Amino acid sequence: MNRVAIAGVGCICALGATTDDCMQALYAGERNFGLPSRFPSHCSTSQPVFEVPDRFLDPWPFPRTLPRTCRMTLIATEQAMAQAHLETGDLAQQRVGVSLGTNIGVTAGYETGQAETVSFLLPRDRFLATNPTCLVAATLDLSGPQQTVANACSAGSDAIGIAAAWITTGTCDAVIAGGTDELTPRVYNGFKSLFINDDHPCRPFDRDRKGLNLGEGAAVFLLASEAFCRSRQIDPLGYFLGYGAAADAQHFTQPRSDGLGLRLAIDEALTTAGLAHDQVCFVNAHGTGTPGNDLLESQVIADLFPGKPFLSTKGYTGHALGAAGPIEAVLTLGCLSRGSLPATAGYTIPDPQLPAHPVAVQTAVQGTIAVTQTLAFGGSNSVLVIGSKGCLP
Amino acid sequence: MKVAIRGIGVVGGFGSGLPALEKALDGRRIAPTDISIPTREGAILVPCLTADTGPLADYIPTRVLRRMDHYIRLGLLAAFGAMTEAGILDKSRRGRLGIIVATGSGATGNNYNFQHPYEDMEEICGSPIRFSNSVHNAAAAYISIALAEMGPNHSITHDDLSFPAALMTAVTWLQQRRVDAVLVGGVDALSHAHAYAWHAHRQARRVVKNLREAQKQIPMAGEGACFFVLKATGTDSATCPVIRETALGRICKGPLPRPMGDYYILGEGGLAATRADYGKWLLPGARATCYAHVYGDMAIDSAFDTAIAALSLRNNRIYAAGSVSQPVQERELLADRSVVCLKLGVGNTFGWTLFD
Repeated sequence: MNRVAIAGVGCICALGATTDDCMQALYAGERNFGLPSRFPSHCSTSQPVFEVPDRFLDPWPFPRTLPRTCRMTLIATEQAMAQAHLETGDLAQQRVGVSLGTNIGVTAGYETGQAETVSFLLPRDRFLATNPTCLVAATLDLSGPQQTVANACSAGSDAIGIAAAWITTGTCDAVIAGGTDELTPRVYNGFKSLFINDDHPCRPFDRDRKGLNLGEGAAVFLLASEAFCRSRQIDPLGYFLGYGAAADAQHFTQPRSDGLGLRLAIDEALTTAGLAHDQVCFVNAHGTGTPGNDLLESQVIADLFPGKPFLSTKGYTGHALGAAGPIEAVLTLGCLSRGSLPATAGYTIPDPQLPAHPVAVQTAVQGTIAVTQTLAFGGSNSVLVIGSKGCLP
Repeated sequence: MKVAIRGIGVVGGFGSGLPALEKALDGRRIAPTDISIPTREGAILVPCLTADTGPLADYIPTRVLRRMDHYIRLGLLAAFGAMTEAGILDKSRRGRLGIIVATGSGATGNNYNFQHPYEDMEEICGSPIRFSNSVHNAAAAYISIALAEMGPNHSITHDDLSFPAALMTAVTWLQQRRVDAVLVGGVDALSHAHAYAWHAHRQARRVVKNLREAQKQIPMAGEGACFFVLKATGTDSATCPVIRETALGRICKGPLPRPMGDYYILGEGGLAATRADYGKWLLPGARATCYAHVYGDMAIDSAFDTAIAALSLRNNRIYAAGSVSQPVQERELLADRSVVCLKLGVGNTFGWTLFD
C-alpha cells in the first residue's frame, strides 16, 4: 500500500483568503460573522453567518460568472498547487484524480433558478458548467478519475477518504481532494426551518449554546504518493494516515444519542492508520454548537480520548457544510505544525452535562498525530487521521 | 479485483423487478405518462417513463413511508430488491455492508418544492421535512436507516458518470476489505426541471430534424433506480456475473484507454451528438447495443446497462436493440464473449465496466 502524503493545501473561508491568513486569524481569535449580505431572508428573524467577503475572491483571475462554489474551489486548488511548487499545466494528462465534496456544487446551478426559466441546456451541460470537480479537472487537464461526493456535511471528509484510497491502491499518483460550498437562500432558510441556528455567534460546547451558524468556503489538498513527491522534489507537509466512516442508521437529522456511528468511524480510522487512541495528541471536533451534537461528541471524546485536548473551530468559520471537514483538516494540520491549539471561540461557560470540555484558551500540544471528525445529515460520521511532517518513524 | 454481482433490484418505467425488465427487453411496450409542467406560457405535457413505487409497501409499512418522497422511495425499492435477491435482507446474514448511492439529479425535485415558497414570498417558513429531503444523500440515508446498517454510507453526484464512479468506489472498498459486501446503485427521479430541459432540448432538435427523426433518436425522459449487492468473488459465486475491471477517467491526448470487449452496451441515451464519440471506442468487429428506450433518458442509465449486462451473462444471451453501428437485431447467444458497459460523460469523462 502506498502512503498518502500531503503535497500542498489551499483554504479560503471567513477566516482568511489563504491557509496562512486563516491560521493567523485563528490564533488571533478573529470571528468574521455578520448577517447575510448577498440574499434576503423572508423569515422574521435573521441569524449570523460566516461569509467569505468578495475581497477574498476578487483578486483571483477566475471568471465572476462562475458560481461562488467553483471560484472558491479553483482558488484553493491554485494555492495547493503553488505550495507544491507546481504550475497549472504541470499535472496535465497525468494519472491525477479529482475528488471533491459539495452540496451546492451538485445542483447544476438550479439553486437560484426556476423550472420555467431553465435554459435550453440539458442538465448535464448545466452540471458541466457549475460543478467544481469538472472545472478543476478541465482547468488542470487531468486524466484521472473524477468524483463528486454529496454526503451532506461530511461530503468533503469522505471525498478526502476516497482520494486517499485511490493513492493507496495505486489508482492515482496524486489527487486533488477537498470540499466546497457556498451560502444560498435555500440552505439558510432550510436550516432556519429546522430551528438549529443560533441567533448569536455560535457557542460550541458552551452551557448556553443554542445552535450553529452557517459558513462557506473551500479547502483543497493535493494528496500524492511518496514516489510522486520524490520525483518532483516535493517535501510533504504531512500525511493522511487513516479514514473511517459509519452511519448512524437511526434518524435523518439528529445524531445518534449513543454516538455509536461516530465511535465506529473513529475505530475504523485509527485501525486503518495502525494507531492506538493514546497516540492521538488532540481532536478537532465537529462541534457545531447544537445541543445534541456537542453532547454526544463530548461523551465519545471522554470515552475514547480521555484527557486529550479537543477544540471546535466552528466559532471561527461557521458551518461550511461540504467544506467543513476539509477546512478543519487544513486547520488541524496547521495546529499540529505549530504545536498549539487556539481557544474554542464562543466557549466560555462549561456545560455541567458534558463529560469533557474543549480548550478555552490557547493550549500547547505535544505530538504529531491528530483526529478531525465530521457528522452529517443522514447520520454520516467521517473521521480523518492526520499526521504532521514528523509523524513517520 | 474481480467482484461478483450477488443481487440485483430494479424499478423503472418498465415496472419493478428483474422479470419486468426482461419483458421490456423482450419487446413489451412501455406506456409513457404525460407529466404536466407549468410554464409562463401555460402548462405543457411531456411524455415520460415514470416509475411506480407501490411494491415498496411489501417491505415498509405505509405509515413509515409518509415522510419519504418519490426519490427516496425509488432508491429503497430497488435496494430492497437487490438485498432480497442476494439473500441478505436479514441483518444477521450480511456482515459489514457499505452503501453507495449514485444520483445524477439527486433530490432536485424536492429542492424546488422547498425553495419555491421563498421565491414566491408566499410563506415565511418552509417545511423542515422538505428541506431535509432536499439533500442529495437522502436516499442513501433512508436506505441505511431502513436496513439498520451502520457501515459506510456514501452518495455520489457526478451527472452521467455518477454510477461508474460509485461502482469504482464499491470495488475499491472491497479491495481494501473495508466491508464484506457493498450495496451500490443509482437512483434518479424525474423533476419538472429535468422533464422541461429534456422537452426543450427535443424541441430544439425538431427545428433541424423532423419530429419522427427526433423522437427516434432521443428516448423519453425516464426515472428509476437500480441496485446491486457486490462481493469479492469466491467459491460460492461460481454462477454469478462477475465484474472483471472498472475504469474511470478523462479523455486527454493519446490513445483511448479502450477495454477489450466483444459486446458493448453503450450508455449513449440515443443522442446522435455523442454517437460518433462512442464509435471511436469500439474495437474492430465488436458489436454494440443501446437500451435507453427501455428505461428512458436519465443520468444513472449506466446502472441499468450494468443490470442488463448481468442479465445477459446469467441468461447467456444478448437482448436485441437497434440504432447503433453493427446493431444486435435479435437475441444472440453470448457464449464466452466478454461484455463491456461504456459511458461517456460530461467534460470528456468516461467510465467502463468489463464483465466476465
